[in-house]
Amino acid sequence: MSRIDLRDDRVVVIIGSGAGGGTLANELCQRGVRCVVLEAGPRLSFADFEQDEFAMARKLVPADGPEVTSRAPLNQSRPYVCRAVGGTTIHWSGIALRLQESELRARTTYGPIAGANLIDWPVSSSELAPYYERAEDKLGVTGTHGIPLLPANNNFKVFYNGAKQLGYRRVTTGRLAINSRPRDGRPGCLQLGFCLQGCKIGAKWSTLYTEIVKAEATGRLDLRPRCTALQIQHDKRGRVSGVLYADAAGRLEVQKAHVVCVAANAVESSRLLLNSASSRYPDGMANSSGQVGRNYMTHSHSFVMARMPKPVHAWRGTIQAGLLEDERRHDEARGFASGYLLQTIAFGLPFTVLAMKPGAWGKELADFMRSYPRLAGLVILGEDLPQAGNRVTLSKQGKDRFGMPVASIYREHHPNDRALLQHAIQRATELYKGVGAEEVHVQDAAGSTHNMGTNRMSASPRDGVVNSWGQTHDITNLFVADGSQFSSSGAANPTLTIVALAVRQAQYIARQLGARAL
Amino acid sequence: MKTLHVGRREFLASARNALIAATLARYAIAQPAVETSRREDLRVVSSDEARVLLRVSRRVMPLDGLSNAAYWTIVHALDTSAAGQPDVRRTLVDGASSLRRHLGEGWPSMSDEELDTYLASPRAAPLLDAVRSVGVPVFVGLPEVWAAVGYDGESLSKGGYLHRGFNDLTWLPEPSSDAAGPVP
Repeated sequence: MSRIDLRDDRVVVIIGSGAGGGTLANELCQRGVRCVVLEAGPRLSFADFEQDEFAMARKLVPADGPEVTSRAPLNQSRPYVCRAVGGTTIHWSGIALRLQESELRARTTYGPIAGANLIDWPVSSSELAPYYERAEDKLGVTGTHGIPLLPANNNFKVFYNGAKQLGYRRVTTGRLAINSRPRDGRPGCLQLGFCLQGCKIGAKWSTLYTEIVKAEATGRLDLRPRCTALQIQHDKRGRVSGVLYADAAGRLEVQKAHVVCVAANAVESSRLLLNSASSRYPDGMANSSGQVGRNYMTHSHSFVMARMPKPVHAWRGTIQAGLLEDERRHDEARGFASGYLLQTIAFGLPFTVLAMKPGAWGKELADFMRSYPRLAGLVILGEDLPQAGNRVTLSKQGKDRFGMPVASIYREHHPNDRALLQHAIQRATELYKGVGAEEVHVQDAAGSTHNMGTNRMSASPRDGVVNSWGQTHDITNLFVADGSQFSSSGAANPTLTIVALAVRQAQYIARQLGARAL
Repeated sequence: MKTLHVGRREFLASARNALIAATLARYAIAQPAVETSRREDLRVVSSDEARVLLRVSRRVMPLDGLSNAAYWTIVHALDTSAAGQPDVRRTLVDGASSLRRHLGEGWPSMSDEELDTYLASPRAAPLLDAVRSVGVPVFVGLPEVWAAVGYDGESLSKGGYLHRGFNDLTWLPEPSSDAAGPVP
């Protein structure tokens, strides 16, 4: 841990410490680059993690999040993102999948789709492959690098047997950044459950106790928790020169910077760029394309839970160790573009009831609660198409405690998303009915943790905000290192790609610094 | 506690707008700290109103075998909510008096079915919404409710489920060895 002077303008300032920011910081520090990480949330320890869904939501998810509007009530729920050192890697379930070439080539694969603002990623799967490889090694992903898969838990047994009787072939406990045996100084999974509340033993990868700690060990990281970035500043030439932030005591400070990387999760990253408008950049920073904040994607999600004839006790053990990949393909015969994954899921009783039976009371509520030990469950994760109108803007009324406008999100489903979900719900229902389900409950998921697309990568500066390195098209020393870079969402949980892109970006920044090109 | 307070108000606002769902986070924020409930601790709800709310809470969350204490916890959560928010207080006061007016003073001896029919009627909707939106998030977090349902709660103190049944389901065939790894 080092202290870096506020006036030191030779450092890289990274805003956010999650999958993107935390990884980028470590990768830069390892390459000899000094970094300041501004993290709005506190630094928690294992002792702060509670196996209590409500308590951890209160600790991790800020109550003063963005405003959300939509014609569809469910779309009005707020993103479920964490404000703490480690960011949403404290909460994530550990599913670590690569994007496929067909998904990276979304516009080419799917062709033109009315209402969708599709582009191809300006980077190919073969270019990403070595970085995915590195990311999988770093995270210790099961099924890669000789790491065994996690064992089958009860929820998976139901899922697996249901999938097999439908003829599905690609059904496993999945690729997870959860140790199936001790690795990298972290223990193997004890099947605790409560993966989403922060893994009490650190078997699940989080930047909080991996990347951040390793970066600090280099002596090149100055991590500043409870420091909220308010505005990115620039010099007369238009280059980024520092970041205005509020420290833990609410004092305003400016950290000078040679390079700034924004990794505050997609909604907050776009908000920060928009809040950094100036006379030189009247529409916000890096926004000559008008694409900052647009193309907001979250994945198409529904929960499907089935009451089985006998006990399942699905909450006992790793909560998402089950993956079906057969439907992750583009097949026009199904009536929609792109594809989806089915992933097992189990919450504790509180979140199960609130997620699956909002508004229930009386007998319906009681019957559902009594059935809880017999529930098997999965979540559908489908590609969500980019739409220019699904966007983050600045609220006209809402301000945070520092007086900065909060983000305002507008979001609607594309008809393709609905068609995809309809297909997936049908298949998931058949999956459970085929192994004896007595009743199947379906509920659209609220509160996305996958936030993507709002500062997207594009080959042409007209179509997006950053190039394939995450470097903004407009300002050479300003980068984006979170899910907001995604050109399309694919049908894969975003974390592994965020990590791979951060490794790649760190290599690029270090090389450019070495060549005095930044 | 300020954030909890705001969260609950937001939740009620969304319930009034007939939104079907709110985020898990919003629910979580809506969940107040639960303490042992005693009738004399009520801040703004009268004892007559508390009797109505206790019975209504039982009908909204009718899990067999629970003590009155569980439902007093709900009444206290409603009381706390009402103390902080005049509109919630009005809903509860109006809802309790409307119930007594329509069902008569003999309402305590009415059957559960009669009470359920009343609660399902449009005139009971604001009361039902308030009890449900404040009460259910509290109810599902009560250890007594977990015990009644068979939910274990935290697992760390018992060493997790690796040796305590995470894979004890035997009524379906075991997955093949290429689908899952070995038990360590």
